[in-house]
Amino acid sequence: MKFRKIYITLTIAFLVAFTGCKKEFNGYLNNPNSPSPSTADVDLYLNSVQLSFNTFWTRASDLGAQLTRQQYWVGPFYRNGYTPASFDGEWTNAYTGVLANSTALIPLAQEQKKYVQSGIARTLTAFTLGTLVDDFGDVPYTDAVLGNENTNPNVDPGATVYAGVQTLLDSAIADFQKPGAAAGPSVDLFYGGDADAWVTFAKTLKLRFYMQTRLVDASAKAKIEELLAEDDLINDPSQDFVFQYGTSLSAPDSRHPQYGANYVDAGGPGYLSNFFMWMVASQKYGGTVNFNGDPRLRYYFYRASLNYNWANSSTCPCFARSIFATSAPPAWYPSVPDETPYCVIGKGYLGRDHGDASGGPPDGSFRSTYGIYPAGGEFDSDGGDAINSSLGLKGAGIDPIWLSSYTAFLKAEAATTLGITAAGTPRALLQAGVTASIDKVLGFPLKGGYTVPSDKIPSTTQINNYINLVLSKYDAATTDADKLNVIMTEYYLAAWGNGVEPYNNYRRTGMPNNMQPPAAVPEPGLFMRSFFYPSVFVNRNVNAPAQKNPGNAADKVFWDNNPDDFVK
Amino acid sequence: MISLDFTVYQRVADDQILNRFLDPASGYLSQQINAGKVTNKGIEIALGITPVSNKDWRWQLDGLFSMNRSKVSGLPDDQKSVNISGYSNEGTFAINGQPLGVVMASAFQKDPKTGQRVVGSDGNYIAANDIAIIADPNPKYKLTGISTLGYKGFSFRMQWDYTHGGTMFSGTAGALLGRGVTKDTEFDRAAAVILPGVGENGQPNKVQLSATGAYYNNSITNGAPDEGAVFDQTCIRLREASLSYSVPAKLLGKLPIGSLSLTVSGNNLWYYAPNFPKYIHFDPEASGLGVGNGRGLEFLTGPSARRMGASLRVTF
Repeated sequence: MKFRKIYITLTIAFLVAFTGCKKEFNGYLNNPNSPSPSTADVDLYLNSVQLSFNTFWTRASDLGAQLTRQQYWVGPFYRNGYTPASFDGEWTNAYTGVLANSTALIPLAQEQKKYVQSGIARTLTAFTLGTLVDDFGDVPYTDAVLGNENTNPNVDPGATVYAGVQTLLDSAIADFQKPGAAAGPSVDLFYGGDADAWVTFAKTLKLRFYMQTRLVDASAKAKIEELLAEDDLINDPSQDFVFQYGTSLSAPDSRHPQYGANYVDAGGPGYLSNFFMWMVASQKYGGTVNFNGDPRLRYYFYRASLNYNWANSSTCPCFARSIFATSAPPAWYPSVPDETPYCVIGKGYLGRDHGDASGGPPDGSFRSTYGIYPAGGEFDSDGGDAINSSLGLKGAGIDPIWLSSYTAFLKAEAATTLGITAAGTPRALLQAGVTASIDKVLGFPLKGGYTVPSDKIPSTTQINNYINLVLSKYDAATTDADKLNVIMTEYYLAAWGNGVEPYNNYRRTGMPNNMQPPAAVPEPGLFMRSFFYPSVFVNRNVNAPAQKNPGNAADKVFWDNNPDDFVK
Repeated sequence: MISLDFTVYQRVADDQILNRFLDPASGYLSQQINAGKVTNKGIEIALGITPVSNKDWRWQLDGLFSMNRSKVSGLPDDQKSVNISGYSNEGTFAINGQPLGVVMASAFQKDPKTGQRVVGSDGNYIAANDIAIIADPNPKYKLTGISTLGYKGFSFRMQWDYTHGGTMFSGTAGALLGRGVTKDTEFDRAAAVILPGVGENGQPNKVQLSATGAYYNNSITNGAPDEGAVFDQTCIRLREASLSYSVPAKLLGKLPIGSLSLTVSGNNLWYYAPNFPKYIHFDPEASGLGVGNGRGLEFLTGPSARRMGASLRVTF
């Protein structure tokens, strides 16, 4: 009896030992210090998704802004203005930041009934994927973010990804409206967990992506009409989708990236784009800088010098050929300064011409830089003081990712090109867009606790004069194309700090139609209608398509059926 | 007296543990893999001669020759290359069929017919859209010569090294030439320069630039391809020289000292890299990648040091 017990015990022990051996040790392979995806916290995932999304967006925005002359583009040719590695950051943030974290978050959130979190992840994934298509064309989607299962993802056609974007937005809206949801996110950097606000944003995105395809998809019109009829869109500045920055210098640096890069204590800021400053300051006034013109001027740019007394052949080599000296721009150049700027625009504003690749002279302390809106810099009250790292709002700026003014301009475009006037006439929508933009910009300093000197606050007369000037230009335009150009130009000016929308708009409509030509060479090659494929994609993925050939090929994305030499 | 060592070897390193960088579209940045094969073949010869050896004089000469060829194979088909060090667009790589550690970085566009660089309508070189192999830092062969000359208590030793071939990207040389701050560019800056190459139509380039423009615009300081800063790293070097004197035991007779010797020595005393611009006096042994497997990339590192020393050795 006793032996039998021992015998049984031994047998059981052996069985357990030998059969359980493998599984038992597998357990030790899980490192308790690195939690597995299935045990991670949904809200912490969401933080990462939102921050990665914003980093992704700023990268895409800077690149788009450079190409559309909102920011300075070095050039001089479209084929060599960038290298494939210039786009690595945007690509990496999109896939390993937004998409990888969202893919891990969504099933967890669904399981825990955290529908708001899953809706936010889906919305931001949709925005990211759509923007990847806008920027690169065909990109990995169905094969993407599979980890070890597929280390060489194939691309999907842009149109397929776009269809997926709409599906994602629909499922996001369904998530936001699902009953029985658990508590919302502990931190939501955009809307404070307000599910209704997210629904409005998702619907606005749907409109935006349908408008993007209006040239190639006849069925888009009906869908746009439906969205405009419902009108659950970002129509009021309180609904604006913006990322708010802080003033912390380190751990982490929470300031607006353009503030951090340009408000420095030594060496001076980078260059702004002459063309964009000229568009705001001078274009409507015959090429002369007018402080009583566009009320946003002093908010948009800050001057470190109020004149050009310092300019000589070593501090500003092109000055000798500017309108303030011999006025001798290149022979092939448009008329200066009424049609386009050259070298400098007046009143001390100092930026650079599009595609001026010459070496930087010692002009660091005279360069103009970002103003109080949207980078959280300094308001230009004719001080002309040197730039340092603690001016203005100290970096507490915003990324104006989607503003109510953009919705108004987009509706005006729909009204002009598709004849959908449910939301109002194009003229009324144009007026609404300009008004919303001016309100947003002029109200911005006070929101951050900055008081603009009262004698520098644009008067109601100045604001009304500006709006009336825009409307009179609209009324004077005889063709639909000219009318649309007035609308898209105002959209372009309102989108300061946002290069994503202007780059899309420029390729879709070709407007503003007076963009500065690259200033260094008469034949810069074809405008980049999509970006290079990133170095990390083509050099590491055997299934990556052939690299683009900017300058020589237009490399258009699927929704762009405009001619190859459509824009310059 | 002659001694000779002769070694021929072939070493195969199989199934290595590699950190493979991934396309971020997979959701991840890198993966540990077990793959690849590196074959090293080479010859090493060591020759020692003692031409003089008598009561007072002793002169010994040692020569060392080594030559190594490596080749990468066996990377799986789903992998273009493995980035060993550096960056995805400027680094050293393992590529099937290539020597280990070739440098891939931005390159000039080449005319497919003649292989010449293509010049744009502004007279400057056009960059290619893809990175390409621009340098192979593996030398063709290496020679070392050591001479030891002894006279009574004196001994004079020196070691010469010679590296033949191998190319590298030099950020220092590229930047100094591009900015025109070395004596190598002390010529008329306004002189006309026509870059050698062909236009986009395949005809020889005829666009004239100023020397300043030609140098600056096509240099890495202005974002032109890294290929413009690739140089041959052939170098001859006086690696070490030393003179020492040992006091003969006789003289120490009554002192409580076992032995006494004095040595003066110098390290890295002189070098000459004939294929680098003369006045940059660049040391091709510089590396911007730190200690590791990457060579052939240099990003404005500090100059190499010459070390001198003296030692007095006393034993009791």
